[in-house]
Amino acid sequence: MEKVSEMDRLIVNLGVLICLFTLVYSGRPLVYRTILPDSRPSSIAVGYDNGLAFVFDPIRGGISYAWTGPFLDLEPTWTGKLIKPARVLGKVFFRDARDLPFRKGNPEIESEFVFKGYDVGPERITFFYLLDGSPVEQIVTPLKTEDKEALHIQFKVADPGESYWLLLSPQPQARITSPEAEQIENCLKFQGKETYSVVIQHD
Amino acid sequence: MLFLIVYSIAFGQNGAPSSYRIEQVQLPESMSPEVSAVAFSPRGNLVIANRHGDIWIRDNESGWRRFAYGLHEPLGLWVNNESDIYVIHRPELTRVQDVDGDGEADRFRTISDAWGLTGNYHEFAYGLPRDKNGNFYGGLGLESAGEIVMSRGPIRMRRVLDERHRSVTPFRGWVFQIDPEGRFIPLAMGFRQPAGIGLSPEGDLFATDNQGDWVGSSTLVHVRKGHFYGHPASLKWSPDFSPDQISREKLWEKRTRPAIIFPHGPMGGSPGEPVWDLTEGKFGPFHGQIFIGDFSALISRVHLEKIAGEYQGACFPFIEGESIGQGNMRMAFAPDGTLYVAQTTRGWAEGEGLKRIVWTGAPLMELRAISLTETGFDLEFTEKPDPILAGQATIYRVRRFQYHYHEKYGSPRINESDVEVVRVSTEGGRVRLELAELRPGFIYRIEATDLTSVDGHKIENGVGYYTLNRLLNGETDRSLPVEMKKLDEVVQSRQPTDVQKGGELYRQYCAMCHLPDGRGSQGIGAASFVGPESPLAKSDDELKAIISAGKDDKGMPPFGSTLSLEEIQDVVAYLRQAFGR
Repeated sequence: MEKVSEMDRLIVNLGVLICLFTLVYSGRPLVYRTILPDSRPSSIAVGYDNGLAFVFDPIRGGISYAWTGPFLDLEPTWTGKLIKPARVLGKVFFRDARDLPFRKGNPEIESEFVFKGYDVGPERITFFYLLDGSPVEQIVTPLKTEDKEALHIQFKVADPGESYWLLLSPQPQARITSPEAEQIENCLKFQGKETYSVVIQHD
Repeated sequence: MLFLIVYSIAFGQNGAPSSYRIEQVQLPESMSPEVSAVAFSPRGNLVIANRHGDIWIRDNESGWRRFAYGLHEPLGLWVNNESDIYVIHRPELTRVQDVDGDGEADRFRTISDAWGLTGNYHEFAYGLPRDKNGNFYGGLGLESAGEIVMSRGPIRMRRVLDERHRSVTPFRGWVFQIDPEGRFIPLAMGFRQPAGIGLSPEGDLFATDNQGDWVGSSTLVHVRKGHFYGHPASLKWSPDFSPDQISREKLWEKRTRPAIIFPHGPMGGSPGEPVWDLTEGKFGPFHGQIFIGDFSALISRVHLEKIAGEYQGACFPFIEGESIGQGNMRMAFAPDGTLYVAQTTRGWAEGEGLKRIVWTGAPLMELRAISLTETGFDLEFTEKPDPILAGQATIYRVRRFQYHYHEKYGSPRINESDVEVVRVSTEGGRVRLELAELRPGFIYRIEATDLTSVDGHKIENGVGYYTLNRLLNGETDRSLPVEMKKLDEVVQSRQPTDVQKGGELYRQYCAMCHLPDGRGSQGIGAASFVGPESPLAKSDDELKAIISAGKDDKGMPPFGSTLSLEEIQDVVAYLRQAFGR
């Protein structure tokens, strides 16, 4: 019989304790709807196998921030009656606090945003919403580059004749690119297609 | 079998009727046991949710599997089938589906999220009955104290009338409908925490509400569109709200009376989901009655009748104490006629898990129902009572009382007095009590003691509380309850104490917040009796005054009319003996 030292036992017990609240990845992204820091209630945290994670805020209508690391510590949201936000585990490389960053028609005017839900599949999550009554699918997948982590975002729109705009905010640690977009000041403009892609890459 | 018999007898002596057995349902090891919703699929499979946000299915053939996770405190389920489940959780009503057939949900569709959120811990979303036309029903709890940082929906911070719990965002304190197209329809207002929503077999909508500010004692109400049920905070979201026309007297006039008032203490403190016994006897002699779990260690029964077109009736303790434990907020009848009880108490008390209550078929003598007559009440029992004993007026005791309608947390009983039983008659197994006076606007406590059935079975529960809103002729009393005597007098004199009884009372009334070991629930800031800040440093008279009058700033309700002076002294004596000083 294999002998187990007291120290080994302690390490195993600590490991079990940590696993209770620090999540372990599976094939699909992990998806938790809870109270998250710097994002509004009802926000959705998504974590991928490769250590990429982000928060989608259905009230703001976009990604609030993205990070690399072990994902989330949900213990504060599960202990006691007073809810405290989950703890983000890792280093945030992208933040956006602007309301409704993806807009239809006129970038100066906030589109009406109606959240409709999400699908979870292998290495991807798809958010469904209406922009001014027109359906949009936003598919987010982790992108593997040589040495940098990146989120690949695909917007599928129902009105290819309309212009769509992604408002950009200054990102000291991330680069945002799109092969289909025309950059006009601090916006990416999309028009004429049913699908547009955007990459948020950790610099 | 021997184990089950011993188990049953033990619980029969411990707060459960002797003809019922309580079982602990084994949950998956990897599941948090804070069970917050329970339902059954059309195929009869058990489906539960927990506070961590999981949904689990126990397939009758293949066992447990996790269907979904990551939801935000689900408190209600409606199961279409094993791959299509509706769930109400804090942010929305969501349809959760397994589209690719691997047994795990992959589609989460927002059916409705048309209510406000701030992230406040008290923003519970309750449900989830569905009617034959496909409409869902739910309720929204008010916000408690705390900073409001971010919100969904507009914010209105101004209080309506001195309320402690607030409706900062729409439609907090409302009961609502969501139609098959996903449209959110606010139905009724005036709720504090409508923690239980239920549809009767006739399709009438009911909701429970929890004791607190503007809710003197917990209630069960018949919900009707446009009606107001008492707590003012939610009024601000009504289209005809005018802040200039609010006063306690006007609110009282506007308020629709609850069908049932659950006297705080003996009938719990925070009722949950009402479920109707439609088992046709599989669950014992209570077919047609409503069973309601409570956050405290209690499950109650309710018998309703319609008087002058409105529901009112009586509530009875069914199971109480350690045999069931605390946190009984969600329940569902299984196809086999057993009752499943989902338990969670996070931060407020201790207790969690899933229990199953089984009727053993053994004889049971209980007060089954109380019905109003022109001059008193008819009592119905689960077995025919011995006619000689049942005909004696001395075995009955009737008391009546009221509660304040005010902004303070809870209410003592007021205007409590005995009512003389002037005549008793028996017929067909029923007992008719004629009372010296029958006054609407009171809760009547009716007790039958030392009664046995014709088969010799001693009565196990002979107590019920009838909420008398209306007399048979429709007469009611619309006046605001006013206290006719001062309660302060109860803390003046001294009597010999009974520590054992004090311990029983502590476990019944105090342990929910102060915990059985006296250390106090940190989540609600309840005082600890064992630390350096223990209130036991105070004098006996000071402690008795606190127990009697409550501590409004700490959220401690008054017990001055729930407990007698002697009982309060017993509790103090127990505190000293159990926790030192």
